[in-house]
Amino acid sequence: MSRSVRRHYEVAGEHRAIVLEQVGAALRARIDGSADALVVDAKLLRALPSGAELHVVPGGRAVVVRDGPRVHVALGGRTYVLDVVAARAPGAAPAVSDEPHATSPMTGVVAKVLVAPGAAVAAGGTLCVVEAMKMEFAVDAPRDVVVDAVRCAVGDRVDIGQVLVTYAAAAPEGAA
Amino acid sequence: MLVANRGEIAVRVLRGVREAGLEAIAVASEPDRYAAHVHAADRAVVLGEGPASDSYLNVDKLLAAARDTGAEAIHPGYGFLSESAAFARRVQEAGLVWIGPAPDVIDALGDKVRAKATARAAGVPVCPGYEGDVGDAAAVARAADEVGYPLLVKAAAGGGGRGMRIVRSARELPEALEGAAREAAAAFSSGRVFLERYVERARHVEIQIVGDAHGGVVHLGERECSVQRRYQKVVEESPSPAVDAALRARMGDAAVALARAAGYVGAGTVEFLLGEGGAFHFLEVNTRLQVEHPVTECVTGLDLVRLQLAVAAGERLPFAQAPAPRGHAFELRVCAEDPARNFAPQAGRVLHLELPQMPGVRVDSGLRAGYEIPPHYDSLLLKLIAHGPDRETARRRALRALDALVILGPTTNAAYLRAILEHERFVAGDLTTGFVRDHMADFRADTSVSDAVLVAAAAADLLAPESGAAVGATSAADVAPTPWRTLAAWRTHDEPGGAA
Repeated sequence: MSRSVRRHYEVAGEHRAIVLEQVGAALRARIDGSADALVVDAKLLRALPSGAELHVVPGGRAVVVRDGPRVHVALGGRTYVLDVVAARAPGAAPAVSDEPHATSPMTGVVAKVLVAPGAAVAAGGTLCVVEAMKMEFAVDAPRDVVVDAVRCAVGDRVDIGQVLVTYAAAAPEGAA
Repeated sequence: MLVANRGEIAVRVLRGVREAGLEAIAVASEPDRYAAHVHAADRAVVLGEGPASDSYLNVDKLLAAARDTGAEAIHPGYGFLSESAAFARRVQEAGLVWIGPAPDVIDALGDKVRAKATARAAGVPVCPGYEGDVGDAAAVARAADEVGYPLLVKAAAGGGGRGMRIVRSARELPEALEGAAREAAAAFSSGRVFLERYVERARHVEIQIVGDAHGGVVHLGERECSVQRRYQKVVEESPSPAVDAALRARMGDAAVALARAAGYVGAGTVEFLLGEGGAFHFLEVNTRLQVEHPVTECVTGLDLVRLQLAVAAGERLPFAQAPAPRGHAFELRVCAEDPARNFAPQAGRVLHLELPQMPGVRVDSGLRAGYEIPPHYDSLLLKLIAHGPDRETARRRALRALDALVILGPTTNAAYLRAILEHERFVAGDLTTGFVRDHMADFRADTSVSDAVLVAAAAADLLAPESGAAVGATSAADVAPTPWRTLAAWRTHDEPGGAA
């Protein structure tokens, strides 16, 4: 009997792909489109309510927990977060957010607003800073943007996902 | 006994209270309704919404909870209202026992300028500085020259690095004075600042003290807390690699002299900067239980919460002198912070939790599987405390404890803690408060993902497929049936009078 799973993950900023095939008692893995199949071993130690505890060779004991489209893995004293994504050609650039606004990454208080309407901000430039748990977190532009409106002010309490800054409609191709 | 706190410290104190044979009452905010500390208590009262001002910092609600549950005493833990003299006064005025030093003592020691004066009068070495009026620009410039550069501008009411500036030349002074005063006024409602010489290569070494109501004060040895990031301690240990029995006696005597002069009753900590060659000077007093108190408990064999309860009940201290430290202990602060993203705080649900259970390892945890970490509070999740007969054994145990700790869901600083423990300077015990700046600045979290990780993730789907989800197909909309979502029938003792 042969069963297989084919998975594409976004992990640590990279697109990774695996095909794992069970042939009899053996497991074969083809990773990132490689033509060569690795012979690996993975034994189910126990099923968890939403995942599994496994023994993987090479690697050791692993805990895998699914949380919606996200998979959390503990292995070798480290933890990993993998997002299950659609298939994409290996090496293709990760998707850049095309949201027309920036949202708060967490519930907190706006500590700084660094932009005003009309400001052009290059990709990675900081728009504002949200403070939570006594720490500051920068909200950056995901791409080159022009600020349309600032929807928050220093001292505002904001919720996770709340819109902080909206962008003007995309500039024509070639405009700075 | 009502414990006016949350997280790992509330769990630890509530357990101590129950062990002492007292009824333990927890308080919680709405998002903490199912938190570990609620389940460590006999009863719990939900105070209000998540923001601390509606819950753990709300004096009226806390006192109402104490009244409604018939509590006779309040333990404040650390943080929140633990160093608020105003809260301590309200507790006492309500006819309750306050587990901590008297409100006037908190006032006197909480103000750094007054605490320095008390220390000086008690013969405790203090850092050269200037505590006069900073309004007169010429006078403060002259005073600064006398103190010498680099110097620190510090807030009298400050803490945690707020309202503090390092000044390296006279040119930077006016701006630092103004900035520190502004920050201090916003954070502590007092903009008063003072100058102090900045000691660059020093260790942060603090002495644990306990005083009883009969004039007895003892010290319980030192803790080294030099490993700090942005003025927040990360790894602590006891004893300090730099302190021998003679120095311990000198520093301990200084701390006891200061505590006696202040009329200190309860547990407290006197912080010092220790320079090369054994010269030390007073920094500040923390009038409460410290986060890092477990390392002292490990090497002294004492229970500090039990001692707090005993002296608050008017008992005499059961010993006149500190026991010599037995072995060595480390504490690692495991926080919901992502070292790969500039230590951004992480909220979210704990999907899977495994706490280390091994010889010489103690875990003080505020976590449970399924708990949703609220965004409103400090990022400290739990503390790993490793104890061994010597420093190296304890360090290796701490590393093994880190290896065995599994928290899936929120990212933690575990990789950063491991890098600290494995750094050659740390291994050598060669520490100063500049350790993180000098040796950890180029720390980069290892983000490599081995093939084994992909194999594990895919093998889980192959060998233990989600019910309803066919092998080979994954829907992003699938929401896993975790135990957390099926626990609707759970109930906490959140109503006054609820069963134990």
